[in-house]
Amino acid sequence: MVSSGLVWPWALAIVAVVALAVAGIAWWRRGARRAGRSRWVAATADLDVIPEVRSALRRYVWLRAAGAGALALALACSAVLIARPMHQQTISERLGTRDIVICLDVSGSMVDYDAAVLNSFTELIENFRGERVGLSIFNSTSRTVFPLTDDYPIALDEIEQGAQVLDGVSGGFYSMDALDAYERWTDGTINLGGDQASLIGDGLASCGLLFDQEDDQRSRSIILVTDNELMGDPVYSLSQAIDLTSEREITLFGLYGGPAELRGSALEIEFTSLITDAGGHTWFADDAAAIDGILDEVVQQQTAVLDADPEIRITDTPRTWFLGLVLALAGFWVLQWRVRS
Amino acid sequence: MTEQEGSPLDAVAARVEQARAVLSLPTLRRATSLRDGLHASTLQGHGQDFDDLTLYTPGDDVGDIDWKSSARTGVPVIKRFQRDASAPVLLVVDSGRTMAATGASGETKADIARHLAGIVGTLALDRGDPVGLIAGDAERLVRVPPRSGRANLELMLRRLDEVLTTEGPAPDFGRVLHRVRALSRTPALIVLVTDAAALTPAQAPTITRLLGGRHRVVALVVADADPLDPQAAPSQDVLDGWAVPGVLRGHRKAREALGRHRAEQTALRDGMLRRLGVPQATVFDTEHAITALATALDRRRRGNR
Repeated sequence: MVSSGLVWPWALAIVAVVALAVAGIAWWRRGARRAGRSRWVAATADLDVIPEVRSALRRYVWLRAAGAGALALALACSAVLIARPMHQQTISERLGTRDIVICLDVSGSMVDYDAAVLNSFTELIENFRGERVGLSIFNSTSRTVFPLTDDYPIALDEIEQGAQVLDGVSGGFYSMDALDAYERWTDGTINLGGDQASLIGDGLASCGLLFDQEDDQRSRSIILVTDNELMGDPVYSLSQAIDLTSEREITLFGLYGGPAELRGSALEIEFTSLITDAGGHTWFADDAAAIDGILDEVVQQQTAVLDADPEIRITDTPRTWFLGLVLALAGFWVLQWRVRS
Repeated sequence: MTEQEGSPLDAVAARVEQARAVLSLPTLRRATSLRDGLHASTLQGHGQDFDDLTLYTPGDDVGDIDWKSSARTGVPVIKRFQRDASAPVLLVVDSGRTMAATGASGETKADIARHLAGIVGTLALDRGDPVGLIAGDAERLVRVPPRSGRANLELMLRRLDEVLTTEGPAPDFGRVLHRVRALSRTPALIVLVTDAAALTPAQAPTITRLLGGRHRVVALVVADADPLDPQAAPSQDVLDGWAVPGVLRGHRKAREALGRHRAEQTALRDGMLRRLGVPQATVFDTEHAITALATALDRRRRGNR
């Protein structure tokens, strides 16, 4: 709901009173000054019949009238500016108390599929209104690409950049530049030596620690994207990590990625069953319904209405008035200059 | 304006010495007797009738030198005329409040008018003529009957001082001229002291009627200030209080147009007065009042009469 108005309408009255007072004092002082300085002359009636004088006076009267008009306009504009013109926007937060962390497996087995998944998240974010979203990537260790934020342009930027980098190295053939970019982007996710990779439980546990404001009654969700292909010896197994997130009342959404051959495999079944047992939902990563499903689930998680009052967002809109003020003052200045010339 | 204990003539006195050397008032008629004459030197005046020729002595009016005779004899020779008899000199002064406004020189027109009255009055007294005053405007009429003696002239100047103020009534010189005609039956030399606005061609019939008596008239026009002078203080009309807008001050075109307009008015007035045979002078300041006066009287003396 949008409405326009003034923050301090009473300022108009104050400006009007002050302007009238100043004008009155100026008028009074002008009269007094003239009385002291002028000299008496006779035969000015002659002036009335001289065409040059009449035209000069007419021009003068017009210029003065226009000048007075410009001044009045400038005054009106400044009065409105002082009263703070604004747009008032009343926003009822639809999903405003939700935090969502995207937990992305960037291990070698997932590289070919991550770009598509990331791209689908842009659609998710475009549907957000006030939710906070974060992105964490993991291989053997985790890196937070961006923490929970509602600054969607930055989130989208980061996601698009990630998608580009991952796209560059997918398909098996890639340039050195693309590899460099990939290594830069995933820097910090391979820290435990060559035999440790894709530590899914550790990645999920790290994601579970990304939620701040633990005292707030916010709904918390993790979207876990992985193929559950574990290599190495994690601190947390997947089930332990899921226990951890459940403890923290975090809802899990699983997107099972990876090659199609793995669907129906023991890995996939473990992944699905662990998550659904913990109260979460899973989809295949290339499932077109996945994003809609996540959205629906997230919307249903309205666990607590924290800020029952709708948010009133006030935006100052001084532009028109400021432009008017500048133009009016410029006009006044030009007219004064014409009067004096 | 007002003087403490001194005479209002004191201010004029210094100038009158100068005036005596170059000025003499026009005369009405020839003397029938030479009975007046305390000062022999003043007796030899500029009468109408040629008397005799005599050698020029320092102090004589250079204008009286007869150049042809001087050329013949090789020494400066002056013509001497018969001294004329006395006739009253009547100062007719416009006392409307426009006469208290600023004059062309920055002095008030009242100052200039009083100065003129002082000089003319003193010259008349010198000659032994009685001097009177009629000052008037739309509402008032101040009269000092013609009398000889400095006391009367001083009284006249004091009365002028009283009436010539910016708080006075509006001018109506036509009314004053009518009253003059009614009041002065005896032939007199009438010196009009007024401003340009009062001596328009519309006044011609009134002046003609004045002349229709046996009066002679000299017009002294006190020049008005330029209301658009950017150097002077802002102007305000003494009649209606209209403040001349600052934009007109120093407006070159407007000033030029006003100058042309005033020149046209002056030309019209000159034409009218010339037709009527009234010598006139425009007086711009007290400094040059005597010169202006001399020009007016000279025109009369050396004119076709």
